Amino acid sequence: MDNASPSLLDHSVPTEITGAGSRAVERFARFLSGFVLRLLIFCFVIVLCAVLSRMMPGDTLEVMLSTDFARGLGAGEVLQLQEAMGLGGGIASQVWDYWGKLLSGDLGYSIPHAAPVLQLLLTALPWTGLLILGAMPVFLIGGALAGIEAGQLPGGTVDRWVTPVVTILASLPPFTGAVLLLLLFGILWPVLPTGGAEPLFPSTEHLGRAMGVLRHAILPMLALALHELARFYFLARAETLNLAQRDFIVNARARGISPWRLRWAYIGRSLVPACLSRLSDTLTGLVSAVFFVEIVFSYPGTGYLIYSAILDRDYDLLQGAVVFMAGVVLLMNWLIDGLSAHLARRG
Amino acid sequence: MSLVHRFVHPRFLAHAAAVGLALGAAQYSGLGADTLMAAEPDRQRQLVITDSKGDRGMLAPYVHRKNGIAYLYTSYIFDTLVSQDADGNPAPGLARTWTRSEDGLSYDLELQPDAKWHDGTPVTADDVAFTLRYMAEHPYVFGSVKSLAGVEVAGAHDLRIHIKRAQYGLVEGLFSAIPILPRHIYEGVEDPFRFATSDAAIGSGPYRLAAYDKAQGRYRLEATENHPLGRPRFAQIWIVKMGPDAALQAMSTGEVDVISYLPPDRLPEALGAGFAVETSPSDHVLRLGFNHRGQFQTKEVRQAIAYAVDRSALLETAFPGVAELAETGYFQPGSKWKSEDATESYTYDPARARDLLLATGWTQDSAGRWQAQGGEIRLRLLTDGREVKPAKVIAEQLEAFGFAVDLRVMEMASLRSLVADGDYDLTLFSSSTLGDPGNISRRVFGRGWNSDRFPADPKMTGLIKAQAVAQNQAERQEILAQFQQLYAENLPSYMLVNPLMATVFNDKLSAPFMSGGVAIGIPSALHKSIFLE
Repeated sequence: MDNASPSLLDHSVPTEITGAGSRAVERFARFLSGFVLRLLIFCFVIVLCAVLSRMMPGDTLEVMLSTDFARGLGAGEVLQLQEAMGLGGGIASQVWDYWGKLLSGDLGYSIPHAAPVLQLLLTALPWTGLLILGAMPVFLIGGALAGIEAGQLPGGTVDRWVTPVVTILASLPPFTGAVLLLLLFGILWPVLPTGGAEPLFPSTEHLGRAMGVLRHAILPMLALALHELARFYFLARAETLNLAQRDFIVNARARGISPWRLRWAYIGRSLVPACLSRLSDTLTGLVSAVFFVEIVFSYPGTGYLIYSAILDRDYDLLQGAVVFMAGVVLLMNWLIDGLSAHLARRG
Repeated sequence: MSLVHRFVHPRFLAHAAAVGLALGAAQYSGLGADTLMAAEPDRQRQLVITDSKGDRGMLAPYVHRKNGIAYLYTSYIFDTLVSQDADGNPAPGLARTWTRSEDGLSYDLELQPDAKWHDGTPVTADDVAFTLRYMAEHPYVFGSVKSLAGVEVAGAHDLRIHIKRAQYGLVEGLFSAIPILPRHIYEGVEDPFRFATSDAAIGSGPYRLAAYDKAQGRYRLEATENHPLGRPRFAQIWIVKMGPDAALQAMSTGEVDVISYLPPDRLPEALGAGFAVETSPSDHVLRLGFNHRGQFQTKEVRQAIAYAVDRSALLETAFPGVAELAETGYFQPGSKWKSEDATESYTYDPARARDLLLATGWTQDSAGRWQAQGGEIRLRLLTDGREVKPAKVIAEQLEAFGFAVDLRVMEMASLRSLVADGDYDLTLFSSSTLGDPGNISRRVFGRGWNSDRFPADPKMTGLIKAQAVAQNQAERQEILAQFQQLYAENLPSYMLVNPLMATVFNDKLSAPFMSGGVAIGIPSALHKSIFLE
């Protein structure tokens, strides 16, 4: 099924370069060049973020002192504070200092939070990771399963009922989906918590605590998964329709294999590379969607952190978070692309 | 053969099972919390307060978030020299007594002899002297020591503070505002803005910080033994992050005891559930600010705008049941500085507004649009996201009166920079009228975005200076009464409405909002004295 691969990928496979040695070396070179490209993008993000964030009106200290209760500090005192907080000098010198620190592996210090950026990110990332990783199986498996069912019998019961529902889901921005879920299961039928990541008084034993965390993660995970579910549903449906015409499936059907084996071993397995390659660009969407979802559910992840960093003009935190997230997304993206190219080639 | 089958199937099942279990757990929601609380040896002595925002930073003077609530929480852990009684009057804090010298240039203080830091070290006059010196070196956002000339330590618990110029409001101002720091902890700290370890939160207050979970926005405070101001009523105080809906629900099940700030439109639910609700005007008055360097230099034009705005309609439309009409003379009812004499209330009077504008030389074209120097007048009205509703009502009212209004709703930092550049005509903002009147100068003449930015007016400036050095309360009150008349007449800004605030209590405790606000003027009922026996 080698010739099936290109149609399964939603981006074109690079054409082969002639005379570039053995195929394995060529593939590895392509894999590496993908890395170099992403490294360049990463550097660009760092530069852009450092400069742009400081071009927003206002600065950290101004925002900090905008409280109604702050006494009027004298000009000398403000200068003194600016120096102490590393906000002295112009944009250029601040950005220069920041890069210097970044190169030595220091992500900086958040003045409003009074904590190193790395520490803040390390507390927030596991929560964001939990939501994203938790949402993945829901939309990957749920979407693929429903898509296969609908694609096998186009116009059948499943297709007629599920497709319109999924179409509606696809049109909902993650923010709206989150609010709807909150309203349904948090307020109208209050079976799940409406905010936070843990109960008021978390259980002291591990299983109880994990259960509490899971309960709090269900709604945000679902909100995150709902939107992506549609992408994988339509992908799986289209691919199944496509595959149904293919010889090996027709052949398998004719041989009378069990419907479950047909679904899993034949159709499902053929879907994996397509789903994987779709997943790599879904990641970026997930990371941006998780911000909104976290804000709706007051979930203590990176989205909440970045949101507050923008309002506080907390440059180091904003940059640290963006650099970190961009790094993670690009890295995952590179790995998934590599994996899906590999799978597609193998068939 | 079926790699996918083997790989996916068990995972999927496990996941489905986990979801099922979690949904099952929803059936006995809150059980975990209940059992945990029952396991506490002294359950009745625990108090749980909810806060809709949660994380207010490490509760130490330099590193908590710079807002009133974070200051309030920190005040449970750090004492000030002077505290407040239930009516908001000065009461002993770390200082047992304070005596003002004849000339008003120094204060003799006697500290509580048995006060201790949370690590057991006694609090001495040396700590106070150190704090005042330290704050001169590292500016503290909520209180300035600029007015102090020096400190003399006269004994372990006695000291004399010298001030540069006699000031009446020092006791209710500075002495009540700045937290005293432990010298043995802060002495070696070069940069207090980066000092956020648990040591930074060693204070002398009745409660000590036992746990702080930044991600969850949760604090656990524990009572200290033998605090000089009284025995803590609760062995533990929890401050937890919870939105109003969840908080009301958790209060019904007995999980929480106090909802610190309930949005006033949710009051009927709280009252319906039978909780004690304390409400009070916030005295964070919504004001219409003028650009005194632009179109609104003359008093008559500002007065005309005041007559053209229908505050009662604004109240009904944008604040139904959740605010009161504000007093136009700065201080609000309930303040001990509020003058008995009535000030102009600018009852809606478009005819009068028109006359005032015509008299200053503005004209109206045939369509009723206002013109000045041959061009149509466009008013740029700035506000931030919190005041969108009233801003729309005011924009509509001014449009109806014949002005073209550009309403610009901006994010706070951008708004601040536009205001600083003078790139506006009107602003809508909330600002406090609480705290010691020593702060009036900054609120009226200051250059901040939430100040009136009124140009120095000799009469008003004179009064503000005079009240600061007044010899007694009565004299100060009289000067401030004159100030209020002038404020209403000159309209540095037009006080529109005074939004209400509400705190909900269950039967464990209840307290009214502190008149005049807590310490630096925080509108709250949760002064630390209510947590003491």
